[in-house]
Amino acid sequence: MSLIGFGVDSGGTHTTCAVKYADDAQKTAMMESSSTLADSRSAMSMRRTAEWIISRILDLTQPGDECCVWIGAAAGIMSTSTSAFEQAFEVPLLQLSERNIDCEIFIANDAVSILKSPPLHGQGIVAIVGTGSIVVGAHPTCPDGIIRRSGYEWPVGDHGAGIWMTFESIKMVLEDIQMRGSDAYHSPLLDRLCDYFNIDSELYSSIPDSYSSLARVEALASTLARAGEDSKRRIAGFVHPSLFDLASISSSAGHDPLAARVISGSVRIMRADIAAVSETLAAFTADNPNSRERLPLIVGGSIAANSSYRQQLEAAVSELAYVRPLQIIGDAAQTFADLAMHYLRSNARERKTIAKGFDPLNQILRLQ
Amino acid sequence: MSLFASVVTYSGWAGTLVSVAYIVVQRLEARHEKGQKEQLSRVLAHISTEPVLLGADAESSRTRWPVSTTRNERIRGVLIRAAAGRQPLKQAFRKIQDFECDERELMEAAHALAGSGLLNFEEPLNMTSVLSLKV
Repeated sequence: MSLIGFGVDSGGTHTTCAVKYADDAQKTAMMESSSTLADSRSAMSMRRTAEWIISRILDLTQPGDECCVWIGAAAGIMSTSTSAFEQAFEVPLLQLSERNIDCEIFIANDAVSILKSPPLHGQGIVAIVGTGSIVVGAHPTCPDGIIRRSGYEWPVGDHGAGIWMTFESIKMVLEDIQMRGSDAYHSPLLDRLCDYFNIDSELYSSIPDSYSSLARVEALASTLARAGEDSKRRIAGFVHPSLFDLASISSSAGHDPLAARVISGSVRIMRADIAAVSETLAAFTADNPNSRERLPLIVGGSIAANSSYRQQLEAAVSELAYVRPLQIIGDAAQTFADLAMHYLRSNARERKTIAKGFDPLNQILRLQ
Repeated sequence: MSLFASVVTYSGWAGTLVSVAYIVVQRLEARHEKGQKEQLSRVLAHISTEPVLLGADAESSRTRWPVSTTRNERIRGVLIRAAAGRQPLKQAFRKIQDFECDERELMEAAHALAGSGLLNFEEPLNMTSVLSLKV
């Protein structure tokens, strides 16, 4: 019999799973699936993801093993939204029961899960910059539960995130054309966007050159407006590596200052959200500004893991009064596996504390 | 004489015995009291270090949140949230009407928190004054 901690990071576009064994000599495993539990995707996608997660548990455990699975999902987990998860896991969970595996499964919002995980243990700030974006923070002195900025799905919130960056790229190109004129206009960013979203240049061969740039931007806008179920993944996918390539001054594909402006715009938005959360939380710790706590900050998400973005964000956050130097984790599956192992090694009282939600909008759902 | 001496001697012994018994009882009581105090201080220390609200019961929190803070802490919390959003004082007043705090008391609280370094606002303070956090 052995202890096994599973960490699952189900983001806006894909799901990763990390496995941590009590015996640290065993290597940590990482797996990836293209489906996700994110609430913006379909029920079918949720079921597929649930099956994939349970299959990973069945593959890596033996009868008699004790395991804990911590799932961080890019979704809101509150009392009204739990039934969708319960339905998605209902059938796959039967397989676990049949195999006699002692397994506890928890689902919480991904940022909330990082906040629960070591080293924060419920006290500090978490930012995620991936397909979507969110900043949350909590502190025992703050009676309101979680302080949050952004993370309200891309049509409303998610400013600064991957999907926002793609839309912002198109808007900036459009503004640039309107300012400089379409005649003889050239932008490596526009070319790359058209390539990525399959805007066929042949279609515009009959349009005079002086209008073709505007026509291409219009085609891009309508393509994005018609994007189907998989739109989020597809739209956000442009950022990495295309946008980062174009923003790099040493890029062989051609540098575009607009791309660099989009990235620095995202950094500014994330900095503002982190500042708002940290200043509010720190105010709860003491009245006097000089006595307030400086809070630890962990940043997750695929975009934050990019070295260029990381450098800019580190510099921006270093100006904030109540934030300690940030720690970037990128994909959070390993962090959730650490949390799962921490749960398994805790006594009954600590386990109860780990499994409790922060407030009515940030609950932790226990499936089994 | 011998009877008198015996009475004096025995009453002296009896007095000593009563005094010793009294001291023993006092010490036992003091030890018991000390034990109780230590137990109480352990409980209080535990409560004060535990993030009470983070671990609040989800079941009860569905209908009432935050579940346990003092009235003053809640007024302070509401003023911090209003100041973080650069909202006017009347916005904070709307949120504290549940716990019987009138305008005068809220303004006094805002003045006190400004004095201790938490809040900023333009004097003279009134219900339309915009609050902000001192950073």
